[in-house]
Amino acid sequence: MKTLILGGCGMLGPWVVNALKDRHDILLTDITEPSPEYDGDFLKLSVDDLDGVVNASEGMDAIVNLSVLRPHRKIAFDVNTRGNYNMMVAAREHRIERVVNTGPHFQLVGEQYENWDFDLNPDMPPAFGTRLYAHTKGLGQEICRVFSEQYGIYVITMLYYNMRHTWNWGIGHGAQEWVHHEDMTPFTTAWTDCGTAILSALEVPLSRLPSRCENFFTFPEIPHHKFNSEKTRRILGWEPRYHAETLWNKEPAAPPHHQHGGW
Amino acid sequence: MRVLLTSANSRTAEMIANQLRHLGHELKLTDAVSDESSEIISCDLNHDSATDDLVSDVDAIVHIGYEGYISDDPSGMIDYHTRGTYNLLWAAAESGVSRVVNISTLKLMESYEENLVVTENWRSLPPASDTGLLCAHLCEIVCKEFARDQMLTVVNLRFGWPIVNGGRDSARESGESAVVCAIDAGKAIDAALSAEVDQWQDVHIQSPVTRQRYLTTKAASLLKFV
Repeated sequence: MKTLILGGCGMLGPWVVNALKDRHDILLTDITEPSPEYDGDFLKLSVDDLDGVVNASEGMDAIVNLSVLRPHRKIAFDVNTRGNYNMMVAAREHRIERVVNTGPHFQLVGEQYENWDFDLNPDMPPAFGTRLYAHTKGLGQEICRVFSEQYGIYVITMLYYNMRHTWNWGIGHGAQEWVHHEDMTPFTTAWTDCGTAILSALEVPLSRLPSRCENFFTFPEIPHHKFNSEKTRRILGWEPRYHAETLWNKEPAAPPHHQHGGW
Repeated sequence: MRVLLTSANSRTAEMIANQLRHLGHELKLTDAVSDESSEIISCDLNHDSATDDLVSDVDAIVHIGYEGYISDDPSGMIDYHTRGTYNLLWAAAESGVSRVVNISTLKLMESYEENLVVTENWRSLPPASDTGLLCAHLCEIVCKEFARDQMLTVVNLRFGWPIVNGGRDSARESGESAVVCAIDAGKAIDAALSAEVDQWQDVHIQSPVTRQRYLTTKAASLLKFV
């Protein structure tokens, strides 16, 4: 699939490229150059450039939007809100059927939910509040929804919260002492799995989606029941490689013997 | 009450200004573009002291969220109605303004067939192909999130269309089923500025005409709009 990646040189981009590169033709774009390790096509482009995004989208089968800007008020709106408008105009102009959008969990479930409730799931009505990052991404998502409804574009939105490298995932193999871990974010995903989730969104048959605009929480099965990502595995068939047990299990990776706890 | 009115150069704002003055309010006018000789303060609602100054000495804000700021650049319109509104409301909350009346439109409900009893309990249906309506919808959302976070109380008035000068005779003469006259619009805003309402409140406003398209029972109960 010919895939335009917007904002592909940020935190998530390398993991997405890694997941997609052997199966799809990628045009990577960003305002910053990619690492020298990247040997594919690259175009310097800001997502707030409407004409640039429309031009870069020509001939594409899908758009993946990884662009994000958090702290600066004007740029946050330029990238997170208008950027989504530009992307959806581009999808409409070139009849691109599939858009994979990304964002933080709180563009859907803001503090009004998170501080109060459990079993938070991706089909809840958005309530992102006024926090700049959540607010601007939430508005961008609403633009995607409205365009999806009118023009029939499939928008698959992958939401993230806490991403961790598996190297600092926990105490790891060989630890000799019992360790009581600190509380973890009950929405934690390995970086590598963040990338494969985008691959799942890009490859899921559109007929399996309940509607043309669907949100998914991207994290493995975690026993807290704070957030619920069952839909992601059921519909997208995404199976994360890492399940974060060492973050929520007090016991270390090295039991006294192999039958410990078995009886 | 001292009220800040945005997009003051727009036709909608001009009609509102006349009515609010007539009802005894003191107005402070602003617009993104203004002549130096005008009483309208030029401000593009950036995150800066100019926006802070706008709200520093007012009790309430009437913000035009539909057909106030109009441009050939759709991206610029989205920017004004999202970022500009966000900056305005943030400054308002910080300076202690407690009440915002957002002026939106019942055109957001136009896709529902006329035979349906459409009220504030129905979801709005903004079309992506109409940038003005998309902006009105996004502006409503910005306002709602400020209310949700309890930073401000917002009454979201969705006016019928067209908005005609004068009173209810003008509305009836228009022959339009969703029309609102300027006098009714002014009375509704006047009431919304001080009515006891929840933190966020949608209210539909149109004038009473034959085959009236939208119910105004919530306006009657909350704003005594009859």
